[in-house]
Amino acid sequence: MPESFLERVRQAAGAPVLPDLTELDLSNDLHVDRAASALLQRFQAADDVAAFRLLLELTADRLAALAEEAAREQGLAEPADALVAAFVEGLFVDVSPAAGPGSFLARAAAAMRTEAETLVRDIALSDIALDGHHHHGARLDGHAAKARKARKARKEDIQRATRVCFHRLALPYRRALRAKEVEGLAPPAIAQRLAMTPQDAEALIEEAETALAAALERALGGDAP
Amino acid sequence: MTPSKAMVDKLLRGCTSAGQAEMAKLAYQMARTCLSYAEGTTGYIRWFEALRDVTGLRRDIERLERRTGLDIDTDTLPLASPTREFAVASGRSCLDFQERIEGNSTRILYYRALFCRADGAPDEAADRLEHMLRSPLDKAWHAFVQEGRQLTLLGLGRHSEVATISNQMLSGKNDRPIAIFNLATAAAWLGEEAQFRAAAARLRGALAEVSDLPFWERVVSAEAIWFAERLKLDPAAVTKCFSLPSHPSRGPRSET
Repeated sequence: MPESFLERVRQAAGAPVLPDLTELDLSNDLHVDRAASALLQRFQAADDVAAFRLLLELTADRLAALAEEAAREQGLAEPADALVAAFVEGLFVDVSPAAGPGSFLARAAAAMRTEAETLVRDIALSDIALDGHHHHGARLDGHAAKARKARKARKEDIQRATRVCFHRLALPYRRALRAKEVEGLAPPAIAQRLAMTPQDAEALIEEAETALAAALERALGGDAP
Repeated sequence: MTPSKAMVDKLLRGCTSAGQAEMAKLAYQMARTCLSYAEGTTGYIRWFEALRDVTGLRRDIERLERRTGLDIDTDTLPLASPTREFAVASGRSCLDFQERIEGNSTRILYYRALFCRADGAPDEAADRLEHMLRSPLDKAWHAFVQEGRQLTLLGLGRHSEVATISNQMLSGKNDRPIAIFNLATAAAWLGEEAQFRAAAARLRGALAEVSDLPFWERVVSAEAIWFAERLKLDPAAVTKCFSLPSHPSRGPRSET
């Protein structure tokens, strides 16, 4: 990183970031965090995209590492860059009044951990829902056992495909489906949760179901609409 | 140590795309709010939606415009409570903007039709909505469009058509409160007291599963006087026909 990086941060942030330093030590978490927090404040106060870009340049590696850690803690196979993307996109579109200065990296870690936990909870609950269809009947003969094994393999394929397809859906779709299918919320409650009208919530759920069905069709070898 | 430029560019592209989607969402909210001004329903909202104030919406749209670089004609956005004419123009402009981002989606077509109604062209609105109903629509949208058309037809005094549509919509297991209420309204205007009472009773049953009772209490209390006049009944008797489950009244819904 060139020596001028700290100057770039100071100019972009419009503030005397780390005034005692002449150089930004990018291996020092505290330095990076201070600079990142200042850049985020600048972005939120002035919608300054140059500051946001610099924020990403400064922190993208750390965000990736935090996402990997969150994914690993939860045993997620989900590519960690999806967690980073969800976090930074959330920052970019957030136009609510800026919160006061705080640790950027701590905020990022907490947000990505929460997202990872939510994903894992979804997976666990979807497994429970699918397992609920098990039949524990009498002992099966050879032919029936073979058929059951084939059905089980097929079901596992479907489970796996469902998980993968679900996690590839856009975040709003996942939130809508999670609220409906996993938490079992009624449309008015979903609308309230998603801060939208019942009409929009129903339309979103419908779109999400269509998107999931199309993705499953593709994943399982059928023809997508 | 430095992340690759490609990585940062990719993240920024995702952010810009998310920002544009958010702008489309806000433009849509602005269009809906403008519609309520254009139709004069700002103090009495017929739908479940909580509308945002135009000042806050405009501020957020302008902020996202700066962030995404996506140009929106902010001169067309109201600064404060707009006149009917400005609300119509502004709402349509928001829909134009939204269309640039998401194409000619069902919800845009739907609100374009409603703006015809707000702009003094209810016949055109009814035609547009009927045209939408002839095209493939998913189940949820079909119901919304049908209900929007019903309200338009009510405004045109085509009560018999509204009653027919409601009866079609409500056949089977469908118990949508708005369709039932529209049936009650049509029946009242047609002077069909028995049909009105049946619809009111059905609404009562349907609302047992709906959490938004304050909204329906407001709607019923606002309309009771008109129903009473048409049916030559006492307003209290009309309200009793609905006898909604008791719920503490919260007063008028805030729009901010």
